[in-house]
Amino acid sequence: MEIASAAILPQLIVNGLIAGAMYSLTAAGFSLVYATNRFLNLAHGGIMMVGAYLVYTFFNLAGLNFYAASFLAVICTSLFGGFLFVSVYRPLRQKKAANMVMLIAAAGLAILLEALVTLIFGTDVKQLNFISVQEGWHIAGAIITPLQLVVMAVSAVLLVSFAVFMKYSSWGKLIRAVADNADLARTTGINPYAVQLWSFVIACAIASVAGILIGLERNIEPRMGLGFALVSFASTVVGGMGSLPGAILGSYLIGLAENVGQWILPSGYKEAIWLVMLFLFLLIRPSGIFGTEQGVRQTKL
Amino acid sequence: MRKLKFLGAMAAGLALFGAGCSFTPPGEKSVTEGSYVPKTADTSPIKIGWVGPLTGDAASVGKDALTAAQLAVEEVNAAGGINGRMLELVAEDGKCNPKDAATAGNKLINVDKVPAIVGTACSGEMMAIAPTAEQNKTIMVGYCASAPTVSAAGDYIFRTYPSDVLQSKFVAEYVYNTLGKKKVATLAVLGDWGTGLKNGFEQRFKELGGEVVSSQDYVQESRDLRTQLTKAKDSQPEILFFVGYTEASIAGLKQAKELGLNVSIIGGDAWDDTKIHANSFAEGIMYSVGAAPQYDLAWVEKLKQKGATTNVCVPRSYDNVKLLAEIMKRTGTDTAKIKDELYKVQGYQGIGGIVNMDSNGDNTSAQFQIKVVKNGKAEAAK
Amino acid sequence: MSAYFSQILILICIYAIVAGSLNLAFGYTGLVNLGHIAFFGLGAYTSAILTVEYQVPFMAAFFAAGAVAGVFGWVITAITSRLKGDYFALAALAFNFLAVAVFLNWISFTHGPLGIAGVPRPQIFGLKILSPEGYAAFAFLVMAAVFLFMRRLTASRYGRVLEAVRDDALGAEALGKNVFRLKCQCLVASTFCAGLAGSLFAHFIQFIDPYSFYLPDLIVALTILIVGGLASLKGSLAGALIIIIIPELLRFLPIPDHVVGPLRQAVYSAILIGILLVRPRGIFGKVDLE
Repeated sequence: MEIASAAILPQLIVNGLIAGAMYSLTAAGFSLVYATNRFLNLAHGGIMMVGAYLVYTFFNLAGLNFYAASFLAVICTSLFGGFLFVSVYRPLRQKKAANMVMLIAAAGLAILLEALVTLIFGTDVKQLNFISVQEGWHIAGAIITPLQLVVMAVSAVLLVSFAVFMKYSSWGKLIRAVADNADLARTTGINPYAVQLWSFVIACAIASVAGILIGLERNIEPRMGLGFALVSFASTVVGGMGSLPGAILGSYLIGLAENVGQWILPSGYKEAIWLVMLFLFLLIRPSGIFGTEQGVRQTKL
Repeated sequence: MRKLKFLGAMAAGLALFGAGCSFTPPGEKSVTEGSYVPKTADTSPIKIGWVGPLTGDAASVGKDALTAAQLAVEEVNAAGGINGRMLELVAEDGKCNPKDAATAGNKLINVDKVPAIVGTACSGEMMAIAPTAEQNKTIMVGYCASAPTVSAAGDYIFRTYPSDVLQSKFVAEYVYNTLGKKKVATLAVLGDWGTGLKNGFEQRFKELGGEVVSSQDYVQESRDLRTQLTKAKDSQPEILFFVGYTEASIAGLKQAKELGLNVSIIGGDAWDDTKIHANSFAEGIMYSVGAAPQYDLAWVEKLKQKGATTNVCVPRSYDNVKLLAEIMKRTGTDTAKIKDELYKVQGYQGIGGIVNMDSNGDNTSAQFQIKVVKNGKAEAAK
Repeated sequence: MSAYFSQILILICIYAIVAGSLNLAFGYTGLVNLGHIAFFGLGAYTSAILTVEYQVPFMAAFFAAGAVAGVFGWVITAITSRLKGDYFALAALAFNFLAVAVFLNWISFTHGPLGIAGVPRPQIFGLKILSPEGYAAFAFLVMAAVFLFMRRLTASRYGRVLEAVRDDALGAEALGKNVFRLKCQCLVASTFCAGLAGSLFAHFIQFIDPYSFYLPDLIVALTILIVGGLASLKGSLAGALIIIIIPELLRFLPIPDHVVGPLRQAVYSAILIGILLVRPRGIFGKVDLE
């Protein structure tokens, strides 16, 4: 087993931060949906992928200005997310479907989205080609590109706005009330349905921003969503189910662990590192870093 | 005991379902069909199967390969088919995984009763269909399955795509002898193809006296190879051997450039994909690929008109249809005869190079060449 | 043709066992074991490694597959004993991912991504099962035995105690039932059956690799379970029948070759969502989990 030299440590940390920032873009929306709707939306990665393909359509195929294309993509993805919620998730909830059924419906939706995108766009990788590729900036013994800095900035804005918005704004309070106990919220005159719908739409808007940035950084493929949905799930557990800032910090923890961990471990174990972490968290601290539920929530999935 | 009744009913139902369709003992198929070849001008089409990934991770490889096979079928039919009988391609999705490939193969072999299957792309698919194919004496001719295990998969199992063993040896010798590089870092996708190429390369390179300073892996879905590349850069190699499929390679090559990994990079045959070459960061990369005496540009143009680009699995998918068609003109659909003819194939000139079959059903004439990307186009290296 | 139906029947039997045993844990006892496919995989790997590397006779490897899966089932219940509801499900899912990572990286034992090829067809008391029809008969017998066993279990007083654990764990405890031991026993029985199914799978496909035991199969198993209905063994049988046959039927529709894969996937997932929307309780389901 080879142990790399300490000189690469700064770069590994930066790599971890970049990966964490990418994960946090999808984890944020994933956890918002879980907090208000109480189901694991495995289709969240698929919605992110739809956002990426929309910007590809508007920018590369229709030839719009990149920023206009991005704006349009965000709007369309949000509308599309709202449509999915109203046509699939909401009717299921009205039938009192178990969370498990919701999870399966979400998985089915993820497969459906992937299949539809494959039918329309084909299976091959698409490149946005908006930014020319060159060696990144050298900062503190590590290399980072401007785009990666933008990704990290967006992630930081999400983190701060979640932390502040959720705590102080009236909308944030509504979301928290529904997240804590939808039935109780209803008795106080809150319409949980509206909160759940709007949370879902906002999550989709964030997902499409994620799709654009991930598309710029890693290109666009029909399969790009699944991996992100899984890491989002892990981040949400590590950060604490239902805690929005927690999910973002969880993403960074996973990004750092899998990249810095390779300093000692062979790189084939990259995914195993975060899986072990996820498993240990569930065993030792199931409520995650910021969760408050102490692992006894009785709602069945 | 309601359960028992239900089980019984289910069994009876399935038995009836099965009985309604004619029972043909699988072993006798080739005898009955084979002896009828074209005596009285039979004009019914001849079905041949095709299996490859049409959905899932490897779908981009499979889709273009299918288009190439369809092109070959059209050409065969336009030229009069097999002694007047048209070829009909029945494609099934193997998803690059054993379970789906097994059900796909089962349908082709037992329902369509194809004499031959062009496939598969992935070695896992090949290994899962091989037992059924072997038992039913159905020919399989792999167009992209390259794992060494396929050699021993059975009598009726062939491939025109060379085993990884040959390619990895060739690249190692090229890097050590021709390029004169003695310190290499390797980075390969975990999987039969990537791991196979990497292991073979490292073994041969060390035998030659070279040093492998860093050996890294990544999973097929990974598009973030930054840390692997950081480790590779840190080991100060003279060259990087990077084995990956198109999607991960585009991401990885970009990240290598961003991380300032300024050494030569050499890759495997999956890099024979114009989608990689068109990128600025792919300038100067080298890769090994099966040597065709001349790259048939007219053929590439025909593919393009059908909306496909060429990738590593495409040429042999086309060649295998043509090769089978040529043999069936002589033997009809008798699979035992087709099998014997396949073992005799020597010097067959296909788009993907020459085919010489050995006693394992492997193509031994794996002549490779190194190509280098210049100005967004691949050209043969000196 | 009979060979074709036999092979479909084999898959139906295998997935009926997988879904039925998941139903035992999930539907009857309320243990949302999202890691069920890991035990299926453990069984497959145990059986394949024993027969290929150590030339162990099939019947021994077959039961060893169940035993290894059962032991891991016990270990998982033991270490997750503090977790309930959502969190048990998540830990089990994480265990599944972890199992795949081990299959993938423990190369000296599992051959890693290269998979294990040449898994032999079973030989029982000197009789080698070569034909698909013979294997289908064998798989059917195994399935019938497993379902009779589960039927006996769930229809008995013991089964009602399990359902009490699902509906009201605290109440069951108050009545002097050792809830933890009951859950353990149930999960061991469930994973043992999954291990047997894994062995059937390995000797049927004759080639296994890590990705055969991953999310896609979990989704198939859950779909069968939900379509058939929770806490209904009959439902799991019917579910397996439907869910395995639908994609086969789709093969025979006149669909152009180049769209056949994604279109089949789209139709399949649309049917799944449709069934969930029309009847989330499943065909024979007796309970709603809320």
